[in-house]
Amino acid sequence: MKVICNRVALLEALTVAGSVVASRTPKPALQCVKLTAEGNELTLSATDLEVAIRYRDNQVEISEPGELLVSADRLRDIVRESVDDTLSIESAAEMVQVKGQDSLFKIYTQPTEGFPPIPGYEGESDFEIVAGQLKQLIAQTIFSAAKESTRYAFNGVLLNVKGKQVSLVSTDGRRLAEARGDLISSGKTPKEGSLAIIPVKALAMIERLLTDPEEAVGFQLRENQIVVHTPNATLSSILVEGQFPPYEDVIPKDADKKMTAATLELLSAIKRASLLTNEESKGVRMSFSKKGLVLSSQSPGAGEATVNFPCKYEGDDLDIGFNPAFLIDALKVVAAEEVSFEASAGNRPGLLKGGPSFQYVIMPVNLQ
Amino acid sequence: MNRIAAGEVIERPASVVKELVENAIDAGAKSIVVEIADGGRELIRVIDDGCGIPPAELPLAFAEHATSKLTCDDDLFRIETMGFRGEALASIGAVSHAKIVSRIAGEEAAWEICNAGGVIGDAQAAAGNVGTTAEVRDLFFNMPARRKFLKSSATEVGHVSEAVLRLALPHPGVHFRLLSESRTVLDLPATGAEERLLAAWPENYAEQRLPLELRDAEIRAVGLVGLPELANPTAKHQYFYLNGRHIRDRFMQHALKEAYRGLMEPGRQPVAVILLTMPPGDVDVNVHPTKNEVRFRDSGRVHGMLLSGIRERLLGSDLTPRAVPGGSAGPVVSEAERGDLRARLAEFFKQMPASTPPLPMAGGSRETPPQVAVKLREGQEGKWCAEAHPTAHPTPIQAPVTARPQAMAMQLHNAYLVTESEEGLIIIDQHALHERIVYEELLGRLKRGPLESQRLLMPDVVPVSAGQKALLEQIQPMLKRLGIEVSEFGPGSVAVQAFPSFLEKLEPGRFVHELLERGEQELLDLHEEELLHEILDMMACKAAVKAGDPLTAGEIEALLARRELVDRSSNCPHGRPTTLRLTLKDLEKQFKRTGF
Repeated sequence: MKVICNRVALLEALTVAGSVVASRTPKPALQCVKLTAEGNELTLSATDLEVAIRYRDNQVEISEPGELLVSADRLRDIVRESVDDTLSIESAAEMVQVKGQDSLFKIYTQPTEGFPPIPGYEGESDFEIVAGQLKQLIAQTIFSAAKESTRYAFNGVLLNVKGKQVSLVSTDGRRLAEARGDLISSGKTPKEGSLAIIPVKALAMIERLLTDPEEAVGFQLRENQIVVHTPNATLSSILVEGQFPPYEDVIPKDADKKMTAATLELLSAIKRASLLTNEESKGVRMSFSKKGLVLSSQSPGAGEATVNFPCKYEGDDLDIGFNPAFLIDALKVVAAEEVSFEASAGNRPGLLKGGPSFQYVIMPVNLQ
Repeated sequence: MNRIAAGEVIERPASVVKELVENAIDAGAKSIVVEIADGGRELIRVIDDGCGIPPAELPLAFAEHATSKLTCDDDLFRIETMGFRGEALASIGAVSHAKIVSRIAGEEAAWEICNAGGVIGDAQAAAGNVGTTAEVRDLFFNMPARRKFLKSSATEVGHVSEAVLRLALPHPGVHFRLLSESRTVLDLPATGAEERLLAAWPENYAEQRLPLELRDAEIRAVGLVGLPELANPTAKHQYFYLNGRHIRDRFMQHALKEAYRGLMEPGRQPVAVILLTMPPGDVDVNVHPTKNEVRFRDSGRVHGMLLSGIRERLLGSDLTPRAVPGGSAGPVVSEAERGDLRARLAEFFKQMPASTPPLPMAGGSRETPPQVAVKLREGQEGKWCAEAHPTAHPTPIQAPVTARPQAMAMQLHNAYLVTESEEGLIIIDQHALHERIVYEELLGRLKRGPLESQRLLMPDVVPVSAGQKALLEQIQPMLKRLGIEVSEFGPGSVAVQAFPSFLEKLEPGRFVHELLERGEQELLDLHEEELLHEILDMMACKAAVKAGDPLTAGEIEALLARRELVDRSSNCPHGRPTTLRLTLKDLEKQFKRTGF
């Protein structure tokens, strides 16, 4: 194999592929990236056996097709530190040579047979989403997924396709985020009720691949696997096993109290009210009345905070406490300029809505 | 006298020694010498210089239930002497060849009387000094079964030695000597109260002690308690006294152990010598034939006073153990240093509140110059058992060792923190320390109200057994205070509805499951208070940083700063130490920069 690469493009490709490489593994092949030079593309493949990626770099000149397997970290570090515009990569016996104007690196390679097969993207997409919208859906849900729950379904984000609509849903058992969007209408309509729970790591990787908001992203759902396709990358991931809880049931429908406010102003008020909270006293009290909202917090040893927040409020007076971090997380990702907040009682869930496509259920904390 | 429960008091040579030495103490002796041969089987001789027995009363000495120590029935309710039932000499005489030689001051001659297995002879004039000598030969000669059950000579010497030590502790003004086959086993010259107590202290750990002094209107407790690091698996280094009498009392023992809760590992026993004085009317000592069990009229008061008093004493002291494992290997102390130690002990006594005499016991030799109590045992002549360690000077209350503000702290292996202190360096187990801090903060928080609780969107369902369900019902109110809300969820399972918000990284269901699993095995019998501590402990353990967690400089600083703010930061809630210290002196020793 012999290729001349644009260094910046290659670095980007290695960085993306490198983030999939298994960090601790007894199999050296899994710490490697596989380079395949074919046609006019250099394909970089990497996997940790859960997520696999093929990243296509077309800013290359291939003089000799071929493939090789080399340590992802080493190659990336060399490419990152180089000062050249282009680098030449050439395989030689059990080594690969990376040549710049004033430098020559020879790295030992691994036999390519040791590298597991990586699913490609064959045939038509089941459905497609515009990258810009997908990016927003991911941002609006990924934060509220659990990290290491034994309720495995909580460790992923639910992808739910119904008709021409797609929604992403996540919960960690204390709050739940749902973001809705549309499929690209020219694409085919997927079979009814396509559900998949995508691991958080894979979803974060997908989000990184979305560089051009206009491009279409294709999805294929297979048994226990999802494959996502963008113009320059294909990512596959095993799905989270388990049953996602019936989330529609926990979205409150009986809320008789409602506040509306400007998103950024509410965010600022909550941030300020939470400045004196601490580990054991996280809660911020929200007191709603006709006059608006008063946010307050107190923590022993730290002090007290009060923020007056005039806003539109309908319903009886209400005192309800929340972990402010949960509210801040959501308000940061709301795209709409105005949000509404609905609730029924101090020990019942609250519902935050940002525009027609985002809603967020949050459970209160008890107030002292 | 038939109101008194008689019992089998003579079990082994040590019982005889105990009875005879008690008599000697009651006789006001200043010097008591105990001689034994063949572990006491062949000979037990107790020589005192007390008031002696008038010749006229000598024939009564071996009579059953004859005592000169109670003058009327009412005295039984105000027992202030050690012996009172008048059964000891009779019982001893019945199973041995016994002889008493006694001379009272002012008399020209001594008188003696013999008792050969219950056959009491007549009193006869004899030669002897003022005081009483009781001689017991051929113990159990007429009880072959009991004689057979005696242990080896060495074992019996050990029992006798322990018996003499127990009697000697509250009587510092009396010189006690024990000789076995003419060799000195124990020699405790008259001394100050605290020095005398050190005779019972674990060898080489004299520095690791805290003097104790508690009182209320009627009860007074004085003595020594050991630093938590001295705790050992058995209670052998615990001595409890009531009005000068050695007792075993589960209330006192429990109070002591509770005071150390969270400062030592469970299942260990602190080192302590505690002498309690209270009006004789408030306690019944006539419960057990050997008089080592008592019944308090108000045991709760005694328990409460000891628990809170000892606990306070511990919390006000620096409990950080020293890091050099061999640091207490008991080096032979030079003569010069022994003098130094004496001076320090003398100084120490000056620091004790002058208004309170050290111990309210017979012959308390407050006036005699403090003298080092040297515990001499066989083969150890000449060795001073205390460890010479001037830096760990036992001042009554020592401020906790504080890391100096400018001191750098460093994390090792993502598990330990090392920082400089005034006297050297300290090594901190990050998990243990953080666990203690979280625990204390939670405890403080609980005093102000229930813990903040985050309601769950989807209840976490936990399968439970019938027993676990019962336990759950029992602890429900406590869980609620801790921010855990659990509700019924069909047969065989419960649902966690709310969980403390500070434990947001934990899984509610898993925590409750673990709690119930543990609960079924070990928490069922606990008092509410103990249970609360156990659960808080579990929470603190899980919320704390773990060994292996890398900490940023800011986190390390915050952790060390919080260390200063919480009680008992020297130990984690399980009782393991959080902190070890290595003094410059230790370092100098290890690097051989100085001699001992």
